[in-house]
Amino acid sequence: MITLAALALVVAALFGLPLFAVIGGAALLCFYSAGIDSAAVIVETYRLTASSGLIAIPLFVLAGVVLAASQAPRRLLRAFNAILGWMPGGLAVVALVSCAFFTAFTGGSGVTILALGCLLYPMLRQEGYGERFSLGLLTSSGSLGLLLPPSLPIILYGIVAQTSIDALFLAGILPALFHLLINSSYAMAKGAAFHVLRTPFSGRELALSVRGAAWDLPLPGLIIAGIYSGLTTASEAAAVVAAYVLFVELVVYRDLSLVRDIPGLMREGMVLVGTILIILGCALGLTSYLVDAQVPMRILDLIRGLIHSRLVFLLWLNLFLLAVGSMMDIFSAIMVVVPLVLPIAESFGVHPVHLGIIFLANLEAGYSTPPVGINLFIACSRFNKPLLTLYRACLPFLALLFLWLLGITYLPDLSLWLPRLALGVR
Amino acid sequence: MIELLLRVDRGLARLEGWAVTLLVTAMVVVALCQVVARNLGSTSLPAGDILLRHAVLWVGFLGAALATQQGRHIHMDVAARLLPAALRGGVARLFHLVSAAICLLLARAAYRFLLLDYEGGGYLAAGIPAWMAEVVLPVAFVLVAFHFTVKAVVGGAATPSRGPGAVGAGEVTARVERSR
Repeated sequence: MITLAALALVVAALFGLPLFAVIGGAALLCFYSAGIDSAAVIVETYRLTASSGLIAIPLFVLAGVVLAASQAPRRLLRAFNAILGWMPGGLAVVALVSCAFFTAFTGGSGVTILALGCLLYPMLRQEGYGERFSLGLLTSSGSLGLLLPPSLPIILYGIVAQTSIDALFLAGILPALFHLLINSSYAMAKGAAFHVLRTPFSGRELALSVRGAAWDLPLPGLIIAGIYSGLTTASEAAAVVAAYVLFVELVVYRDLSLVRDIPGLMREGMVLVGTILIILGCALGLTSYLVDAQVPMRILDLIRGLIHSRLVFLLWLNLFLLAVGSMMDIFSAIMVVVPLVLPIAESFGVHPVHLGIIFLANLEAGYSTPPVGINLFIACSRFNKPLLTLYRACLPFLALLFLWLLGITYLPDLSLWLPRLALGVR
Repeated sequence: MIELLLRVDRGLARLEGWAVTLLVTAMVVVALCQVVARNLGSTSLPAGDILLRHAVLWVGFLGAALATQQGRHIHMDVAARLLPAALRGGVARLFHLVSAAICLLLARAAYRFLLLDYEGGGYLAAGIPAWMAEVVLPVAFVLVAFHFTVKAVVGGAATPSRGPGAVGAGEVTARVERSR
């Protein structure tokens, strides 16, 4: 009976039952079958309030929605174009940098494709970049900013894995820059191959556009410098950034109105926070049961019989997470999968901070992986192109993405060097 | 009858929306004060952090109720694409009903949890009894269940949510479209 109900939940999940209901239902079922009062599920949910990083979630989300709704994306695009646009493949590099910036603040790639895609796609095509290249670039480059602070998935990983968010923020920087470097090199090579007209460098435009975006540009630096110097924690940085963004967009640029726009944007952002927190609350109940029932230990025993080296384990982890990433969204995947994988990875000697970076990078790559990666569907509807075209458009970028994944998986120092240097993480 | 249900549904969503807006505003102000106090005065309200974290719980669960009304909960739709179009509406209604039932069970669990703390009589901070901070859990689960029930009764399109990381995706696209 219990098995049957559990099976029904899994099938329902695949057909679109909201994930929090699936997870909450599973948690209730587990505790019921073990004869424990269902209040135990909520005891775990309430444990959310003991997490010091929790406050960072709504505050960074608020900053993200306000920034996204303002004219900041246009100002930044113009500034990046003036700074980088003169290079060979300049506009493509500009697209990559803008997507990275935007994704870091909005927490996921879907919205980057939606908001920046329709600005950048016509620009790329107009300058002479091929259709397939432009589509692939915009569809797959949402992943770029995911590892940069203050990306929401990083915060969530920190909360779920009970790992320092400060360390994770610093850990993501080099891998993200590495990714940017790989993709930019490819974009420059393609730019040359397409014989794209190069925009001459203009000192005047540079000065104008940078002055125009003078209040938006320091945002990432504000967060990184605060944490790196130890002046602020991630949660404190969230408070500062939320207040700063509100001040800049409402008072300095006056893009938005306090009365007309802000209440709606707050609701919009908190709907997102709500969809995540309710899953997190239910997932805490379920995973506490699974951990009590020694499920990770049993999986570990099973794996230990099959896999003996760290490298082989990491390879399988890569494949497993790519599959998860192409099926589930990144937030639910973190909440459900991290508690199960973390003890196993630790027993293979993988650092929790490094695991976080591997986790997020793989899940995000899964987004662009055919046949069911969500980025492909979003781009499909956004650009009005057949799915098969997008599959083919993404292939070269996926190859680069996998190369990058291997790099960050097998070179832990790439992730761990900065947190070690600044925070003394062991 | 259906008209009345929909009106209550929208009215509740409006209330949830205002509660969320007020809470977020308070959160930004208090969080900023905490940072300033800690860095300049090297003191901060010890109760401040506890209250802030509970405010997140309130905002999150009221936000979840609002998300239900807007049909924005995260879900997978790998297999749903395979369903024949004629079946999709029925399946969506069935799932709304199942979600509502699970939420009621969770609300019951949350109520029992609340009773335990009510009888225990613990305090959160600043003289606020712990149970008061926890009231939001059963209330929000009942609200979520109500919104799902309305959706199950009224039917309509399946949720258009795109799930992953869609921070303000709707808002942003709307604005981009407008500014074009």
